[in-house]
Formats: sequence, C-alpha cells, structure tokens
Amino acid sequence: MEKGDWKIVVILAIVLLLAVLLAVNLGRLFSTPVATDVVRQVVNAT
Amino acid sequence: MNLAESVLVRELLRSLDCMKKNPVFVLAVVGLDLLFVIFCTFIYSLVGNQIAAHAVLIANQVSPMLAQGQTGLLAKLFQGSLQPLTVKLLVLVGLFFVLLYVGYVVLQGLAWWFSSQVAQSAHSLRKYVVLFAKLNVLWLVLFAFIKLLDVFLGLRYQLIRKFAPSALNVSAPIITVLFVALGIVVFLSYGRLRAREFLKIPFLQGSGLLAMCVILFLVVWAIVDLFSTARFELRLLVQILFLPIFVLIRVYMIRVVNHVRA
Repeated sequence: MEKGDWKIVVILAIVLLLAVLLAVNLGRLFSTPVATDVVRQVVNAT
Repeated sequence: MNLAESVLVRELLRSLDCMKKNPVFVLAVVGLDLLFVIFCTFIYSLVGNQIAAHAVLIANQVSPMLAQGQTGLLAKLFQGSLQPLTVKLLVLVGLFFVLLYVGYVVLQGLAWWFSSQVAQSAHSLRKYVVLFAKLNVLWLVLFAFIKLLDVFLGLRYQLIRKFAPSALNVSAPIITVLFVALGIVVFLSYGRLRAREFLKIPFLQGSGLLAMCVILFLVVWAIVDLFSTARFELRLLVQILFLPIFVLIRVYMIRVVNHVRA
C-alpha cells in the first residue's frame, strides 16, 4: 500500500459508517404503529 | 499439451504461490469478506424487516383482489389506500439497494483490490475504487431490472394460476438463467474492471476458468457440509477457516484473465 492509500481507506470507512447510521435511523423514519406491529409479527414468524 | 503447462493449471499453482507470499493481504481479504457478511445481515435485519412489513400490509389488501380474479393489479397498487404503502415500499427497496451498493463498493472493492495486489496486477487504490464503483452501477441497474422482471412475471403467474391452476411457471427457469449469466459476466468483469471482458476471453479458457472456480467452491462446500451436524461454533470456525478459498478464486481469475488478455 502507498502512503496516500490510507486517506482513501479512511474516507471509505466514513462512507460505510454513514451508510450504517442511515440504516439504523431508517427504521425510525419509516416505522408506523401498524408497520411496527407487522415487523414484530414477521420477526416472530422467522 | 502437457496439463502442467496449460494456463489454467499453471496460474492456479502461481496463485497459491502468490497467496503464500502475501499472507497479510490474504487475511485482509478474509476480514473484509467477514465484515461484508456482517454488514449485509445487519442491513437486512434493519431494512429487510421494514420491507417485509410493508409487503405484508400490501399483500393483505391485494390477496382478496387476487382471490376474486381481478386484473390490472399493478395500476391498483398506485390507487387509493394502497398508494402510500406502495410508495413507501418502493422508497425502502431503493434505499436498501443503495445501502447494499455502498457496502459492496467499500468492502468488496477493497477486497478485490487486495486480491489484485496478491495477483501482482498493479493498480492504484484510488483508480481501482473509482472504476469498481462505476462498473457496479451498471451491474446494479441490470440486477434491479431482472429482479423487477421476476416480481412482475411472478405476480402475473399467480394471477394466471387462478384461471389455469396447472399452468407452468415458464418465467422462473428463465429468470434463474439470467441471474446466473449476470453472475458470470460480473465475476469475469472484475479481472480487468471492464464490463465487456467476458466477450474478449477465449471461450475454452473462459469455460475452463469458470469450471475450475466452481470445482474449488464445490470442494469447500462438500468439506463444510461434513460439519453440518456439528455444533454451531465448530461450523462457524470451519466456514471461516475455508474463507481463503474465495481469495484464491479471485486471485486465480485475475491472473488468468490478465494472462489471456496480455
């Protein structure tokens, strides 16, 4: 690996972290009482 | 021609040699593969459950329509009380694809770059990641198109079965063949990061390369399968221990593609 490559790895890691944060908050953004109830049923069924 | 002199066998032996010389990079690829599996499971558990919930809510309203043999279901999904649910579902599926794309480019892009370093195929990381991201936009669009076709034809089949219960599902094997063909094209494109690489590899060598990769994969599958009744921890350990086979498959493919196209 070259010296400058670490910067790219750090940028990629930050992008990945942002994607995870978006996924974590997506559940809150999209959940409605009915959908939450169905999610619980789906999780229980699987 | 002597078997040991053929490109396929010679490059396989050289790939193993390259892996022995770069154990740190091999470990990095194994780590990235593991991280990718964890990332996919995590994303699926968060977004997949929301998608499943909205699909169930839509199915609850669509099922009576299907039972009555109503047609024009696709248009009905965007009317009345179904519209907000359908829009939400489409947004969720879109975001799911975007998140998977980001994770794939970051984790698998790095894994393929490390593999190309092991295969002694020189690329700068910056150039490689940019090319990898561009190439995968095309593959993602094609994948989404085939998936949509799958859903659309699947819905039509459900409806056809209402009128003709013994109707054959002709689209299912065609969709499977399309997915397999896309998988092969995608895999071969990573050798030189060019979309049309599969057209430029001689047919016999391309088929031989794919056959060797499938054999390597099946051998590992058979070994892992021997532990299918073992304890979970042991099964997991065996699966992790055999992860370097995916590094070998990558390195081998990159070396063969670069050799036949040199």
